[in-house]
Amino acid sequence: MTEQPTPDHLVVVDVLTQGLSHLLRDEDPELARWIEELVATLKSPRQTTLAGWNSFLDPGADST
Amino acid sequence: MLVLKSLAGTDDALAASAHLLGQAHRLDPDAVDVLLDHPWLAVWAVDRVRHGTTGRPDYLPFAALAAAALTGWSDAAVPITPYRGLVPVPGLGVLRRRGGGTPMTPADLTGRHWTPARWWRFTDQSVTLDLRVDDLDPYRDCFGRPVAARLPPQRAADLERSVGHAWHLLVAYAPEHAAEMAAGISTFVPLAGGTGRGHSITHADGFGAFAADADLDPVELAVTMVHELQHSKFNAVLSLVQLHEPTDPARYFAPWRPDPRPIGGLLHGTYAFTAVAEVWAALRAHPGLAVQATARFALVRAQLERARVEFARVGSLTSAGRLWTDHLAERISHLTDVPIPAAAVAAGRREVAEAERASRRTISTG
Repeated sequence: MTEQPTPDHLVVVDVLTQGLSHLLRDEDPELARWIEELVATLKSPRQTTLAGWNSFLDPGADST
Repeated sequence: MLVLKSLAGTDDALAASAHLLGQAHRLDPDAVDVLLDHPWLAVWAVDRVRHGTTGRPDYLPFAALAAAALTGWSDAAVPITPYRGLVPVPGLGVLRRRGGGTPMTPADLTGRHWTPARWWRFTDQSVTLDLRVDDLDPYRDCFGRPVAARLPPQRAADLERSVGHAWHLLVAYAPEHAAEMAAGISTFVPLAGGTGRGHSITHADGFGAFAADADLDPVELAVTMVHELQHSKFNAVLSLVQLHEPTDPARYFAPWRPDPRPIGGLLHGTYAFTAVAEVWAALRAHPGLAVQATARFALVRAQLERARVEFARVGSLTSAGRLWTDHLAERISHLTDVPIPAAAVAAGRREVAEAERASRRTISTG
């Protein structure tokens, strides 16, 4: 396998202290770049629903 | 909040709702923070970002109406398009309303067409679980399974008793998991049918919400809540950190399933069942549950021990993924040290071996 940088992660921006109202008006280009990265991550293919039954409750059925 | 900002930048109507939410947030940050954490808002927002449309009215205006109501902003007019004759007001209730889009204010949320949401609070040994039982909001259908209609009063009362008993078991016997639940679980969606098969589901984008049969007994419910919160947590981790190469084509034996699973499924299951095993181990101390808990613990532990072996086959873990599996393996080792009768150990291992043989037959017969 290919060795990856540790860890390969999305930068988490702490926006909680700003408040939503301020955040909505914030035109900071760096914030815009973070949002762009977040949107790209959200648009990447992945499983969205775990439609699994729990085998520990129902050993005959499939599960996660 | 960043997703909402992104959406507000692409659509004037969404921008108006987002700014109303923002103003409400300034009035009462705590109340609106709870709203911003609402699982259906997150599911809708991610779906909207991902696909551009969701095929039903946007959820953000409903959240804006809820924010206005929560902050006492009684004359805030929010343009609302009902969905199938319903106006969900997240966290508060649902209003039946015919017709198309129209401005609504919090003052409209009353009368015989208004049905309030069920919020239950359970406190045991000063540890509190606040749980929304959502049998109303039409957007709760995100789990891909039929959901139960509004529970009749007696069934709701029975479920409330079951959750209360489940909460007592967790607080008394698995307090670390109870503390986690108090912080993480917010919403329980009863599934339709009542098949008695113990179904439960989590949505990757709806943190803190799970769907399950409403007729689970308290022990099943306690274990189910712990199980499903692990999926929510693991999904949150996966949204931030890449644990494995996304292109790994291999399939792995997951002892709790008959079919081979991709690496993501193996990691999900192992993480969830590790917590489940910890709860069963703890419940062995309950006089009335010792036999059941020992048998369940023996089985789940044997499954985890086999899953840990499977980790060695995985070549697609990133360095973060290896850290993750190393930590999981350590937790499984602690479980392996828990003494249980040899007969229970043997029964658990026999069942896992049989599951593996069946899994191989499934693979070979394709």
